[in-house]
Amino acid sequence: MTKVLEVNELKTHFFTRDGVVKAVDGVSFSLEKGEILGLVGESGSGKTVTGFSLLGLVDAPGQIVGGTIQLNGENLVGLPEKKLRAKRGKNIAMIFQDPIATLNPLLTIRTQMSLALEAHARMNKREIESRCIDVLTKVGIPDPAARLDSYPHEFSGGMRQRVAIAITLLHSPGVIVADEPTTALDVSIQAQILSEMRSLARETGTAMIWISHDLATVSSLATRLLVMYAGKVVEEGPTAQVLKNPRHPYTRGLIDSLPAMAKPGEPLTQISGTTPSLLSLPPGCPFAPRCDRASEVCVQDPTPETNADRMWRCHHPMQEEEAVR
Amino acid sequence: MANTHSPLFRFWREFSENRLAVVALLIVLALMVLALFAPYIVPQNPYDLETLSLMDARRAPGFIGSGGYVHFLGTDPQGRDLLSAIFYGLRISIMIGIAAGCIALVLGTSVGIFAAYVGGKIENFLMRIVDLQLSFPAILLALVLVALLGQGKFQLIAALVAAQYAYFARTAYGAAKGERKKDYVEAALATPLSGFQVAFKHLLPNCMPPLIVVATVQIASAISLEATLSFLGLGLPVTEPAWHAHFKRISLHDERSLLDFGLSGRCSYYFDRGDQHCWRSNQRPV
Amino acid sequence: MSLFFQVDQVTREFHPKISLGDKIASKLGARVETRSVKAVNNVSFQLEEGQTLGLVGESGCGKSTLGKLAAGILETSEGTVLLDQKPVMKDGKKTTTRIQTVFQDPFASLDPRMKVGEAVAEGPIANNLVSKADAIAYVKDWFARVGLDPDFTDRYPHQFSGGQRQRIAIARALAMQPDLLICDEPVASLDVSIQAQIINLFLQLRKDLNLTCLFISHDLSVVRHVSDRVAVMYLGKIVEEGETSAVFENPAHPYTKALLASVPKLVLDKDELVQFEAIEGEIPSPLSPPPGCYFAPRCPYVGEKCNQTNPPLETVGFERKAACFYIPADFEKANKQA
Repeated sequence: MTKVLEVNELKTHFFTRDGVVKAVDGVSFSLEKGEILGLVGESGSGKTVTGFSLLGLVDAPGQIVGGTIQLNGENLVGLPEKKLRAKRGKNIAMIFQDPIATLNPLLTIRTQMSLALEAHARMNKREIESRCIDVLTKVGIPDPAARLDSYPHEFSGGMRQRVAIAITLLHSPGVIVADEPTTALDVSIQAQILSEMRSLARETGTAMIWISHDLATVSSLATRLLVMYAGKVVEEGPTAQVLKNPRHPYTRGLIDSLPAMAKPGEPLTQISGTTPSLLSLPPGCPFAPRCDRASEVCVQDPTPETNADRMWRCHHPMQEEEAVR
Repeated sequence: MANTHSPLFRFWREFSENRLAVVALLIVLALMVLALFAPYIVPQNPYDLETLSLMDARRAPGFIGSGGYVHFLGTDPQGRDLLSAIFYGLRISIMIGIAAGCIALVLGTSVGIFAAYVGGKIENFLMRIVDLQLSFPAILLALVLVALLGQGKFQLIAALVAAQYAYFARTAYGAAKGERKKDYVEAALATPLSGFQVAFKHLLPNCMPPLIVVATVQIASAISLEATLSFLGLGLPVTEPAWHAHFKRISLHDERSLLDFGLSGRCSYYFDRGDQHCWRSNQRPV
Repeated sequence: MSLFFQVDQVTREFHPKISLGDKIASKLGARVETRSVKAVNNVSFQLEEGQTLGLVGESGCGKSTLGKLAAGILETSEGTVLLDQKPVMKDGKKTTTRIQTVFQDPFASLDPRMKVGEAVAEGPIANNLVSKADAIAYVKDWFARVGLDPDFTDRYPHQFSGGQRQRIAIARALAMQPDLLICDEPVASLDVSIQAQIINLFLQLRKDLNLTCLFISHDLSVVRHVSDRVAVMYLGKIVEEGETSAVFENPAHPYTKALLASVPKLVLDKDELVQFEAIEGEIPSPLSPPPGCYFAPRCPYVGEKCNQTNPPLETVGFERKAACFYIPADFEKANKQA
């Protein structure tokens, strides 16, 4: 298998008035062709900033301060904006949470798609049209030739997100970063898009990073899971294994706190406290103040432990026999 | 999230970061101090006819008059010290500007929020009147009113208020209309709280940021409107020196525009800058 | 048992705003389109004291509008909402303090310029539930009960996290000492780990205060967890209603069935990806709903009758109602076994 993306010790910090916010603090992972990687975390865990960093879309006061992002063997960190722009959309593309904000309300889908195409390729009108119809069909838009001249407001929410996905597919990028693309959608529409994405990755070999706060949604797509907490990856591994036998207490807490894990009407297993402010992180393991397994050693930074293809960052990991069920 | 600073402190922190805004604030404060303490600063009280002497009339700057002090800016045809007159004029200009601005603010805001809150026919009626008024230049309306009411401080303020409340009403209405749809207003209505409480405890404070911005512009424009009226001879009686009455008299048109710029334009510009900052900082999700 | 809370054949229509120009045009004989939307279409349900009814459906199905009608925030176009046989609204004004609402977005539902303690005290003082002198102690007591530090009453909403704000919103609703609490997606905008905390708080307070609740959510697993009965809405109508576990285990209406199947569920004992089935098609526009059953265009069980008449909500089993002509056979089977 070929690695299309390799991220090593990525650090993105925000230099704010109140101090340095280490939104992403040493994140490493790699992505193979056609693989879907799930990036799970709560708000403020740094999952979205990780996605933005990959495309070089971090705005001031944020800055990538360390690490490497190897896209097809080429390091993107430190690349001038001009070169990054040549890659963005062509080799690596992003799908955003809100399709209303991504599409320009004043332009037809055809105009928006041809603009996106012409940014990286020289094509005549006929080629453009056939390419557009091609990708719109791929994402499951009925009668794409007729819909090309519609404006975004003429589409429903789910269809709009499909159009946004179609635009990212125009140049068949090797990597797609999807930031909560189904969160704003209804359950039934979400299910449709999830199954489209699944077959897309399978057919085109596009690798995907699926960012979400929803464990269940991510698990329906991703073969590997990355769990982030306070800017760090606390656990990584194949989806089924992580869900069945999480090693980090935070992952375990996330799974246990789902209503489906308790009998109706019974209290849920809850993680106490709130996510810490990134400005005043506790020393050592950031999860320690909320963790019921924490001890004195937790004030020291836990070193990542690996076992086969799994990784966790905890002094007191869950053991095999503590599997969820 | 443990942001325990008071809103005022946060406003000041944001404000003080903008040097231009701080300089502008200092200028405004200096003008205020000058106006407030004018009797202690300048040598002559231009209202006090006893201190005036026609011997000193139309003298050039630097002339030492019968009072035994230097007329730094010279004197006018009645023998008044121009520097003193400017400082005293400042008092009236600022007083009328701020009084008219504040009364217009209260009146306009009440009309706007009331219209947004009650809705229906009353809303339409009130806002169409406001729209009608906004379609005429404020100066025209003020001119007509002064002509009808006659000259004098209170008449002038009344004319300015009538000309300017519409701007506040429109702004407050727009802001309140937006806030009205938000959940917290719905929550207050569902409690249930009375309409009066909802309008003044919830809508009003949340409509303030744009209103403050408009107020800074409108106070400045009240000052220049008052100046314009005086210049046209419809302002205060000659016995009361307001700023621009002097410019008319000494016909220093260049200086006039310069000072006009200095007082009305510049100050409000910096006021604005500061307020927009404050507004933005309050809007930012924490 | 006497009826505690009753929503009786309630309809809420929204009319498009007609501009002055259109009004004049229509007076002159031009045809002006005035299609109205029935956000809630002839809906009835009852609640017994102490019961929690879950209201589920996708966006645009009218569940939030129904919640507002029940809470006395919106007026009904037709039908009545009764609490203890008395109408909740009269002449556009809410007549009772016994119904309170917790809103979805704790960032929008708290006045950003009011101290949170004041926000909680405001309603009870205005409605003479507590005197001004006792208000501080009263608010502190409620802060403690919803798991907040009573010293936080002097802070502004922006100084709190989402979960804490939702606790404040709950305190504000409960400080009015309601008998019926309407929760409109109270956990939808919260993080997973915080969701569990708020659900637990809700369960605890419901037990302590013997609250009756209408719990509105698009999240099926949350509704399943907290409610005794559940009503499923689709395009302004209730299509199925029944006891929670029965509806979830054995759905009668094809829409309920499809909705349940489309949610990805965490299955931990298999080494494969989580499975789900997508419903085909999209929700029809409420401006021009299909002539017969609203779900017919997407329904795999569709028959002739479905495209002509809208099926009424009828009893199909023990304490179970559904609006469907062709209830899937596996429901009947399971229903007989039960």
